[in-house]
Amino acid sequence: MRLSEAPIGSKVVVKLLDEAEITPKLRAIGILPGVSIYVVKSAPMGDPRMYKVFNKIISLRQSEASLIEVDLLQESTIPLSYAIPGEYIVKGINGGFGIRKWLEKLGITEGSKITLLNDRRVQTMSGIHDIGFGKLSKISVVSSAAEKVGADK
Amino acid sequence: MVITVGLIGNPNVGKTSLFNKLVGARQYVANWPGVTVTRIEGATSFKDYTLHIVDLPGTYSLAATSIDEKVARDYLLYSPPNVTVVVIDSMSPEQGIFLLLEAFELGLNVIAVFNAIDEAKRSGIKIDKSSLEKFLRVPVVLTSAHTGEGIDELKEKIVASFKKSTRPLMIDYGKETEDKIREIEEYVEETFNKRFTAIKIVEGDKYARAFLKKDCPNDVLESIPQEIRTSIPLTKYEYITNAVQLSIQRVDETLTVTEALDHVLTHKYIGIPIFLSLMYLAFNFTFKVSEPLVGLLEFFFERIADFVGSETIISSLISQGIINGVGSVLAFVPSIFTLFFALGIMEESGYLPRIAFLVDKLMYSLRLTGRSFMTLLLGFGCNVSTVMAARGLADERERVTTILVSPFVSCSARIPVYLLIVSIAFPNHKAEAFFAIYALSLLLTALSSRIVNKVILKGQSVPLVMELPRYRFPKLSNVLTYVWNRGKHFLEKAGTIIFAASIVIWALTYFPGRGDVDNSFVSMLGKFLQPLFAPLGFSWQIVSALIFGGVAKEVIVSSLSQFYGNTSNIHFDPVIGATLMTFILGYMPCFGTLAAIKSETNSSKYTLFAIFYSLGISYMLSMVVYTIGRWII
Repeated sequence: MRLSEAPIGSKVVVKLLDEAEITPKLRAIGILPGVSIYVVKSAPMGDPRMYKVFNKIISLRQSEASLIEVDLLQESTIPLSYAIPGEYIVKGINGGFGIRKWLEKLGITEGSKITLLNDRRVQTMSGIHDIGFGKLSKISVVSSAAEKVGADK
Repeated sequence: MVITVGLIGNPNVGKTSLFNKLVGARQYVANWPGVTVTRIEGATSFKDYTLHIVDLPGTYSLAATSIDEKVARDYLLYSPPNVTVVVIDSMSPEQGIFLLLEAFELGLNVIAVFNAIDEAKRSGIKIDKSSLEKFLRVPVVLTSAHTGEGIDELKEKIVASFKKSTRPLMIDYGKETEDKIREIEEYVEETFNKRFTAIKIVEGDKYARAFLKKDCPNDVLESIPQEIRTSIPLTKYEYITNAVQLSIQRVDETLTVTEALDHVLTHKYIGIPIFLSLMYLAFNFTFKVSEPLVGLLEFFFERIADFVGSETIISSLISQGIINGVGSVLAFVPSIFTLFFALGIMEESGYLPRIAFLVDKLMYSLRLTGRSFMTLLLGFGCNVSTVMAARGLADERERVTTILVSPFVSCSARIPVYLLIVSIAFPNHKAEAFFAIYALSLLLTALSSRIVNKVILKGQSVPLVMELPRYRFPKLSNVLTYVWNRGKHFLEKAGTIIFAASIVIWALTYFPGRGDVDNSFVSMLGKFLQPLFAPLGFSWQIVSALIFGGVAKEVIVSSLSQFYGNTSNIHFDPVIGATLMTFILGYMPCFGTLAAIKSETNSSKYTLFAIFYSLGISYMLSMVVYTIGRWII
C-alpha cells in the first residue's frame, strides 16, 4: 500500500521509498524504512495530508506520499471499508444521529465486537447484515487481535 | 578575541529567537518555516571575548535543495565558524539530532542546544542532559528563548568549546556502506572534509557530485544500490531513536491543544470559511480601532495647514506641499499599524502554515505551492519582501513566478489610497469594500500566476514538504516587534520618497498659474492624458495622481489631496471609486519593487513584463468594473 492510500487515522510503517528528486529530503525528515507514521488528516479536496513523523507534523501532497510504500499496522484504527475480513472492535462512528441510530439497530455501537465476512457483509450479535460501502467507511474499527495485546499490557 | 558562532537547525525551532536573546537584537520571528532566507549576523561580548553570531536559514539536512538551504550549507563548508550551535526542538528532537549528526560528519566543532525547554517541561517531558551528552559526545545545553533559561550557560559553553574543541562521534554505517564511502572518497577532490562529501554522494546529493575528480568512472556512481543509499540516514535514525528513548521521557499521547485547534481550523469543510471570516474580522477590527485616530490626525493636519495659510510661495509650499502632502499619508499610520497588529497575531500563533495547508490544492492547480503562498502573504507588508523571500523557494520556475505575480498582493502602501477612496465612495460599507479589494487582490494574483505559467514559464509543479509548527499563544512583545518591523518602512518612506514627491507635485501644481490648480503643469499633463482613461471615467486629477503614484503608491493620496486642496474636498461616486481601486490594485509595481525584481531575476525581460502586463490587466479589469458599474447604476 502507498502512503497516499493509507486511511486517515491509521498508523503505518514505511517499507521503502521510490527514488525521486525529493527522496533525500523525505529521508532527512525521518521518512525511512521501519519508521512508523500516523496519518493525521487531509486538507479540503483530500490533498495534501498531514502526517506525524516522530513528533513533527508534516504536510505532504498525495504525489509525494505515493512515492512511499507502507504497511498498515495492526493496532491502527481504520475505516471498516479498508479492513480485511476478520474480527474487529468498533472504535467510533463518524456520522450523524440518523446513521448512529440505524447502525445501533443492527448491533453496531462503540465497543461492540463485529466480524467482517469474505463477502464484505458484517456479522454482529443480531445477525448478518449487508451495510454497503458508504456506511462501512463511517465505522472506524481496530483489529480485535491488536486490542487483546493492548489489554494484556 | 573574536569567536564566530554559526546557528543551524530545522526550520521553526527558534534559531532567530535564540539569536535575539544572545545578541539582544530585534529580528522578527515568524511562527512559520523559512523566515530567515539569508544569514543574519550580530555580535555580543562575553567575558574577554566577542561572540560573532551568524543565524542561518533552517534546514533538515546539509544537502541543499533550495537557495536558503544552500546559504546554510555553503557557509558551513566554505567559512566554518569556530563553534557551530545546532538548535534542536525539545518537543520533537529526532529531526534536529539528525542534522547534528550531519554536522559531526562535516568535522565542525559542535554544541547541541535543546530549545523550547519551557514548553517541554510544561507538557511533562523529562530530558536527561547527561545521558544525551553521553550519547552525542558534545556539550548539551537546555535553553528557552522564551524565558531566557540557559542562555548564559550557552555562552559559557561556546567559549569553553572554542578553547578546547570536542572530538565528536562518528557513526559506523556497516561494512558494505563504509567500503562504498571509502571507494568514492578516492575520487573526491582535496577541498574540505572528504568523508562528508563521499557520504553525501552515496546518499544521492547531486550538488555534492561537483566535488568529484574529472577522472571518476561513471559506474562507481551508477552502481550504488538502494540499501546502501538508505543505510546512511537509517543508521543515523536508529542511533537517534535509541538515544532519545534512553534520555528523554515522554508523556502518554493525549489530545494536545494543537491537535484540538487543528481539528477546527484545518477542517475539511469549514476550514476555508473560517479563514475568510478571520480576515474579515481583521479588517473590521482595523477600521473600528483606528478610525477615530485617523480622523483626529486628519483634522490636526488640516488645522496646521489652515494656520500656515497659502498666500505666498513659501507658505503654500509648507501648507500645501509638505503638511497636506505628507500629512494626508501620515494620517493613515494608525490604520496600517492596527492591520499589522491583527495580521501579526495570526502569524505569531502559527495559523499561517495552516492556511498554506488548506489552499495547497488550489495553489497546485496554479503550479505554485503552499510555501509560495506564505511568501506571497509577506507582500501584504511590502512587495519587496516577497521578492526577496522568494529565495527560499526550491524551484527556480516557482521562484520567478512568485516574484512576477507578487505586485498584485496588495501591499501596505496601497492601504492609505484604499482608505481614502473607501471613505469617499463607500462611507457605509468600509470593511466590506476593503474585504472585496483584498479578495480581488488574491484572485488577480492567482490568475496572473496561471497566465505567467502558461505564457512565459512552462513546467511541472514542484513538490511540497512542509512542517506545520505547534500553535503558540501570541506574545505581545513579539507582535509589537512584528508591527514595528513591518510598519517602520512606511514611516521611513513618508520621510523620504513621499516627502520629496510631495514637493515636486507641489511645484507642478503651483506653477505656472501661481496656485491656480486648473492652470498648472499638473492639469496640462492630466488633461493631455485624460482621453486615454476616458473609458474608465477618470478625471484629470485622478490621471495625474496615478502617474505620480508610479513612484510609490502612497503618493496618490498626497497628489489628490494637493490637487483638491485637502482630502475633504474630494468626491467620487461608488462606480469611480470601485474602478479606481481596481486600477490601483494592479496598475504598476512601484519603483522599489521594480528594482527588486530586476536584481532578483537579473533580467530586463521579466522587469518589462512586470510593468506592461500589470498595466494591461488592470486597465482591462477596471474597464469591466466601470462598464458593469455604470450599467447597474
